Amino acid sequence: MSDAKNGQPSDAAKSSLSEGLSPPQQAPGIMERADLLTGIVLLVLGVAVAWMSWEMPRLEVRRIHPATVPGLVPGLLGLTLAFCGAILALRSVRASADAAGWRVFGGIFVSPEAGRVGATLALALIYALVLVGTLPFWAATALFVFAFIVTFEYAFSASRSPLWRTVLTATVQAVIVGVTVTLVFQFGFLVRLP
Amino acid sequence: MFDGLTLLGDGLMHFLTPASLFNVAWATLVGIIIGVLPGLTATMGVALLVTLTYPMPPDQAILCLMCIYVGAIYGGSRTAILLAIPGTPASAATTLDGYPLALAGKGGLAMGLATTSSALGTMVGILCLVLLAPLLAEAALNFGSYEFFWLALFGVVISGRLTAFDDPIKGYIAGILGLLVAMVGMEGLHAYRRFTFGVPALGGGIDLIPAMVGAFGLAEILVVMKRRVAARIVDASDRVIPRLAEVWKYRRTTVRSGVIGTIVGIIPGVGEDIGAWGSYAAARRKSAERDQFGKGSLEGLIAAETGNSAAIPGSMIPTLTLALPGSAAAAVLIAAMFIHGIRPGPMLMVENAPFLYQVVAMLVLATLAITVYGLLLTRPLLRIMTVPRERLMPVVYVLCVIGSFAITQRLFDVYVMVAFGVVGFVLREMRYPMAPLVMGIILGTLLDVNLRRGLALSNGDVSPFFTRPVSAVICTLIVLSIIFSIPVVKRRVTSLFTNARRTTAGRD
Amino acid sequence: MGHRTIAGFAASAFATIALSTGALAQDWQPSGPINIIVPWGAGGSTDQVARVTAPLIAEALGVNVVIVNQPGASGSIGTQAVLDAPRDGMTWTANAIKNNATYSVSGLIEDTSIDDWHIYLSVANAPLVSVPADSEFQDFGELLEAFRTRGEDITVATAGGTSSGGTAIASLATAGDFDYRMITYDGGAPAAIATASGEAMVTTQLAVEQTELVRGGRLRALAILSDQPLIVEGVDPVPPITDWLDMPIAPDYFGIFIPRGVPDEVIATMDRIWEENVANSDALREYAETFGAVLAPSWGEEARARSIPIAISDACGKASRGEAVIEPAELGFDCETMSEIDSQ
Repeated sequence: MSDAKNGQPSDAAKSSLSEGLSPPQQAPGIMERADLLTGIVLLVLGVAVAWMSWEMPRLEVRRIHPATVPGLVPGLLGLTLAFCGAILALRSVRASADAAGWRVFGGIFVSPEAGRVGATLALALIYALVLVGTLPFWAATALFVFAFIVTFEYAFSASRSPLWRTVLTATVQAVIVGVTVTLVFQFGFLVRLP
Repeated sequence: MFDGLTLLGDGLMHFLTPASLFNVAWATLVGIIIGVLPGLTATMGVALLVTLTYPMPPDQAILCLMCIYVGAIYGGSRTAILLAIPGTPASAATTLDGYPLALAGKGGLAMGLATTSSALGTMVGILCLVLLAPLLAEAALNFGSYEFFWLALFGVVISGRLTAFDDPIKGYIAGILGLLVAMVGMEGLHAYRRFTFGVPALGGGIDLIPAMVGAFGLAEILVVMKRRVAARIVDASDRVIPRLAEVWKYRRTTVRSGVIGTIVGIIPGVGEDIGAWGSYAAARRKSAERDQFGKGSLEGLIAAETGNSAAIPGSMIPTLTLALPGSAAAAVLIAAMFIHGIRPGPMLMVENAPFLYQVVAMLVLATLAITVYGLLLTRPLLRIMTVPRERLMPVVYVLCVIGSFAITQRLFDVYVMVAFGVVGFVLREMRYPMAPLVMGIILGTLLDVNLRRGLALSNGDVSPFFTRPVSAVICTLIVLSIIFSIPVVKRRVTSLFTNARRTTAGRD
Repeated sequence: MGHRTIAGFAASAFATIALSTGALAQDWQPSGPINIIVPWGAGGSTDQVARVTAPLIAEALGVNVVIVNQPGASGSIGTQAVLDAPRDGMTWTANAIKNNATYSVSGLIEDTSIDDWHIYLSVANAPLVSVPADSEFQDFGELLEAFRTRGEDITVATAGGTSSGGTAIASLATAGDFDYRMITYDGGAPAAIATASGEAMVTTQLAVEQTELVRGGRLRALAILSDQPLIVEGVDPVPPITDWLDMPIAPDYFGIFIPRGVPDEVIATMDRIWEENVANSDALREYAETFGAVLAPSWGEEARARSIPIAISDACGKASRGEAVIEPAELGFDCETMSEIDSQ
């Protein structure tokens, strides 16, 4: 299959890249730094899991077979995870030596993409963790849908339409979604909504 | 064999009722729409719809889920051809030739051939399902605790190995994380509560459905919203329904891709996307018009679409006979079957033989439905593609929240969904595959209980795990696949699937 | 398009409603489908009875009754889920009553007793001692001898320590004075299948979970834990355990239980349904005759009174084997007289 290695980048290819199918076209070293950090996190997590498994009761009073203690499998998994984390971290250590690279790495957290992700995440968390359960479900939903649309169509959009139009259409969609979803689930699927 | 044909007939007759056909009609359409919309994947569609089909009788509920699965994998091809964005990961290989075809004014032909190829691919897979599943189920009746431990481990390892983007260790890590998630809660042998940290809700463990809705729903929403620019649709106004000659010309490619897709589907936790890449690579190697691949080759398009669709019935083979999910979406289907009291596994053919053939009938009906929709509903599906993500994604997220809440009606499951969404997004950004995580969650209990039960049976002796013939074979496979993922070894071994990926990445 | 999808969902919802059966007038009308959480695997004894009973109740109430299998940890995970559910009468469980009565003794569920439940009994089941068809043991006498000489080398498949099979082998071991090695499976049916395949050497799960395998010639039935022989169509009569061992036999009752604290009309309605629609149903009678169970419908105080002997024998058995985390006396069970202490 070596005949294919010299092709021209095409539009199709670029978008398939953005879907995360091939290595992302980023500054070199970013993935290594991410790997170094996750490797360390996984190492710590693995060791912690293994330790907790070791500390688990062996249930001797219940006269269970000693090879069937509850901590056996999680312990083995913890050790394997720690091993994989160590490999991941060690492999990336050399590539992450220079300080300048770390500044580039830090840069991805303040990029416009990070802003979009942060906004989406904030809206999603506020809706699921705060609004649902506090407000009636339809109101919580309508509020979330409205805020989401306005945020992305107005605040994050390059070609913004007039604010009044966004607000109007967003309100209409928000109310329709909130009421329809509530009605369908409450009376259609007999779900007792929070 | 004759019994099989009778049961198959019964299976088809079973669903030839107005209510069933109505379910086929709406569920397949919903599936196609889910597939067409970037950001909505087949796995997430099936996971969300488990909630909505919960009140239905078991056969109708699984029928709907199967139609959604088939519809979504097919629907992704539309977006791949006209937008150059795979509607689902399964249609990534379709973009390579589908989009150039559309740019060359052959979008209609591409959509038509994608439809017929998907239908034919599913049919090849269904044939294999009918022939192989009863045999495998028969063989699996002799499997005991030792074998099921290895099968569970094999599922996680092979899925980690083959679905990892460029780094097998990340596949393994995702698999281990999934297995650890399955360790939370009360374990099955002695009722000890592991890793609950005093939280009562964790005692029952973490349910697969909310976890999947998070990892495939919220995480996907974050990925979609991250992109700054939206893509443009290519106009396609040429003839959609392909000529018989065009289909017949590539019959060899169709059959080969169908078989490859089915085999990939059978491999646990390795699903439609790899099925498409695998058959695409094989088609290019065998093709006379090799240089056309990636520039608008009909053959490449056919190979990709046949391969991903054939993987669906293929994935049903281990799913039904071993309870070992053949793909991420199949893992969700297993969870759904358990919810409805259907127990997949070797005993299925003994306890509930008609069900296997009902699944076959479901796949046949879904295939007919995608063919009809695919060839007739071109315009309306185009319009769906133009729904802006700012308007669509909040609605999808609302459905994620309510979908994870509805089954057990606990807010705890919503928190599980959110947590898995965030972790899933971070892992995805760092190029960890999601499929092994799913496999780990669903196979963790099987692995844990069967290892310890096997040790109890052998009185603590590990040798039966290595000396029983089937155990030895599976164990060898696991060891080989781990050894081959070590870079030094890997360089010397050319594996079909990884090569397909590497070359497509290289050629882009 | 969001609206379009929702239209699709709505259509399916209405289709589902149209499928459910028409309602009969009752004083309690459930607002939706009722969930019966079966804390054991599909196909096991509890699951079988629940699935025979559920349609009878569904027809009488006019709503769907959904069986949800939530196996794991000797049935305590599913039972805990029912106890945690809102007490609105919409979430029930199905089990062997002795399990619900003694989960607190084994420590699987804290602070629960038989009086946490409204009891609706349907059948009584007896454990059956079986070995694989090609086993070396031809009758229970040979097996008993092997248990006494080889002890922990004999593997016994059950659905867990507190399952019917687990309790059965424990009381056999006490009566016969022997050791054994218990292997836990996810339910009675998986345990029986594992024994038929030869993975385990013996199973002591309930007769109803084994009759199909015995009839199919894959398991050999050696003895039934009863004072009467087991007679089922297509199987040679199975001798009672009392031919070999002198041991107490308490019928093991199965049924559907509703947690205390639900509205009174739920219980009033269920009492009537149990009397009118379940107790004399042909479906339940046919099930009992085919699978080797004893038809024994009861409800209210009578059901509780019938359940007490097996509950006491189970709780005291656990205590004598050192498996109890609380004394049976805390539940009001007196292990000296094998009766209930009155202050309860």
